[in-house]
Amino acid sequence: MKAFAALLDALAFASSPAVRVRLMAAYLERAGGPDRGWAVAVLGGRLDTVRVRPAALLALAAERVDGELLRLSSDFVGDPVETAALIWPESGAAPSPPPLAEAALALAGSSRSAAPGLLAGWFDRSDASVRLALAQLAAGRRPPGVTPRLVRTAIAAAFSADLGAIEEAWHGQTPPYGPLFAWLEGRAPRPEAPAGFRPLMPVRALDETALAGLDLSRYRAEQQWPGRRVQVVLESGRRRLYSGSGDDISFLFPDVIAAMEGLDGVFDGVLTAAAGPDGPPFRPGPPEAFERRFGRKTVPRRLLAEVPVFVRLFDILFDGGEDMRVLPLSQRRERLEARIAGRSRFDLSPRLAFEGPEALDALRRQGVSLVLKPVDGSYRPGGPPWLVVGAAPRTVRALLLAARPGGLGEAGPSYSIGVLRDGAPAAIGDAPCRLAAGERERLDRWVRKHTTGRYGPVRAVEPALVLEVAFDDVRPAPRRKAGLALERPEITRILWDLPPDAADDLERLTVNRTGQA
Amino acid sequence: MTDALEDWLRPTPAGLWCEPGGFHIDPQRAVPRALVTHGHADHARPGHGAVLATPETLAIMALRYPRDRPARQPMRYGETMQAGGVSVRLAPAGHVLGSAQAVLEYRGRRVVVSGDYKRAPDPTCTAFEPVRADVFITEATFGLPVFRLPDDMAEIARLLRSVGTFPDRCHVVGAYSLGKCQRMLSLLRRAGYDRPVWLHPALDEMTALYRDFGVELGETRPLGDAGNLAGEIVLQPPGPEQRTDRFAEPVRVFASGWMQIRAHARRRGVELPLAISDHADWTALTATIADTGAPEIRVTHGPPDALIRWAQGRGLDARPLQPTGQQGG
Repeated sequence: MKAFAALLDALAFASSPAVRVRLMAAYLERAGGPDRGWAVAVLGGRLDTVRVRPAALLALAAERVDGELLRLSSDFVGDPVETAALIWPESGAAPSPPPLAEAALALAGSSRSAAPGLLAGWFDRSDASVRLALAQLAAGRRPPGVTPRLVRTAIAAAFSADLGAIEEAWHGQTPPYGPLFAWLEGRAPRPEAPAGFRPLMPVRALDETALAGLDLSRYRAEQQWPGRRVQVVLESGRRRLYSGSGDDISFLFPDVIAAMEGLDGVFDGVLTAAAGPDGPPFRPGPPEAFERRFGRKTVPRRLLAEVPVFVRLFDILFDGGEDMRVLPLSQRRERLEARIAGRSRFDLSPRLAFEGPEALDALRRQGVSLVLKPVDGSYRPGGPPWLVVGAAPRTVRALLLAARPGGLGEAGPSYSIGVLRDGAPAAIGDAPCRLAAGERERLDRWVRKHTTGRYGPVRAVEPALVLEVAFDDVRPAPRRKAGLALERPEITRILWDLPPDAADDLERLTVNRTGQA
Repeated sequence: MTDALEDWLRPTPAGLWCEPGGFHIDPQRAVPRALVTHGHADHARPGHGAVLATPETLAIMALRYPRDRPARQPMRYGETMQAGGVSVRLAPAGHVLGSAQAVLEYRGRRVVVSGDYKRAPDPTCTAFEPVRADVFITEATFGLPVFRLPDDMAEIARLLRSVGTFPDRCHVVGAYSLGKCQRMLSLLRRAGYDRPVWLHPALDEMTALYRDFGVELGETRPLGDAGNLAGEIVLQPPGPEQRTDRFAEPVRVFASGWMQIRAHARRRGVELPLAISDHADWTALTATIADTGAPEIRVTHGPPDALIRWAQGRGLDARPLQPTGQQGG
């Protein structure tokens, strides 16, 4: 447990995906036995436990330390999970924490009422770093920036194995992944995965400079659709829907599974809410409604009717038993078009005709993000990725309204921002700040100096500082005063010298809004 | 008691003022006579008429303020002198080289002013010596029970493990020039790290001064124009204005007690926070209060509320020394 706690500690501050991979690989090289497998489960989000609420952790601590000391500490630290782990009384005896495997298994089999008792027992035997790790496990928090794919990349690095081979063997394996590690260590053949997940073509964001250097005549373009990347599999009678990270989400979408009839093969596409039942082609519906289809244990029939979904397909990996991945995109596309003509719940991502960079720019200025794929490229996940060209960046001048320090498992502090409505600030979202450390410190100093009220760890500030905020899109948010919110906002510049009334008016965002056709 | 402490020792805007002795302790502005507990800039200011301090602290002040010419009165640990009926002695505080507690006795009452101190073992300075007192005036930089700092050798092991995991990156450790820099060197040596450590020029002179006083720190090399130092450890003053881009994929490390709290480490943009401090943590603060046996506690230099709450819970007369605390590193 100690080594795993140290890994979580390091991951919380890791500066890049490559660093995260190296840290995880270094852990996996040293760890052995079931701990290694449970570490992979925790990092990959496959440990299914009750979520102990942060307030419950603080309550556990309150039974053991003076209430006033706890309050002072909690105010200072901000995060209740971290506070509870740090303040827990220590007996002075040498720590003897539970092995990760034991803790993970016990938490997975525990109930909401029993889990706090388990934790308290472990806390008594652990040092602060292990307590923090156990608290994160129990609170269901994962280290920031660690995706299931990144975990598999680390496994590949630790065992000098091929990532694609690991991904194909991945499905059907459950924690603590004994057969998988047996294969990786050369003790057993690779586990078979019928109707398993196939590695997806990765995508990579392309910046302006790289775009300018691209020979566009070699590429085809499609719109990047909102929704979730999925893989549709029907093999020897088995039907599966996988998320882009290879998780089996079939049980969440019985409507899609039913519509697979006759679709023998493996397909790549995007799952989205439909605006209505009519199609193909379908029209994407509101993303908020779509989110209701995720993160649940059961799927009520009413939800299926309220939030219809469809899959917009753009590639075919297998046609029946035939491996299409070796063929160029142009040939795969022909086969795909023939296979799915006139189906319900499935349609095709249309090709976007463009001639030269000007046409591409025009599309991007309309708020369209594009995916560029080489015409003669095969479907080879280890090869050159598809290229995503974002919509032309959009920015707004917003006022800083409040600051909240980042908790455990979050990348950093977030800042509440707003624009002017009838001269008064109206909140439009929370944005992280990716500026250089120096500028961030200056911002935090400004926040401390201009705090007007404190709500737990949140500091409300005087609405007097203008920020440049980049964002992807605007979506309606009926519960906000402004009536809308920014998607993926990010503070890109602090306009120290501008007066507060230089902030943009709400009008500008409403007018700017692009409808997704 | 009829003799209130405030009759002869009290906080003033200039600093803690001992009236019968006619001197200030760690004054913030220039005064005629100053007793200085240690060389950090928030305790040792230039411009005083006369300074009483350990020989080490006087040497540190002379290095930091080369144009300052006070009358320097060196006093070794354990020596005693009289000033206006007040007996003055300096006891080791274990904070940095030359750091001292001021032990004052007047009319049968003994007051110990801790200055900054720590209890963790540190070969770069003389270890803290608990002194029985009637009144103990303690610092409280880390006066919250969440600050129970891990063993410093365990923190150094994390640094060395990171160097092993990332052999192609340069570890750039932010460390203050007085105390933390030399402590880090000494800890690295104790952990068996015997490669040269690379020093930013701002850390050179103070490190040389430590060596003059006989502190062993192993081989250091000036940064100069040594290349990108992949796989090496560099010590440089902390702060975002310190550039790291000349180094190979730098790992930004910062050694400070504040690093115990993740939000602080994040705000600093640190990749490897090390909770290593030259201040007493909560465990040491409370243990030291008990060690002095003092029935009266005054808290300064830090958030006082939690420590006062703790002391009052043990039946001690505990109060803040000043209405507001200051924060140190």
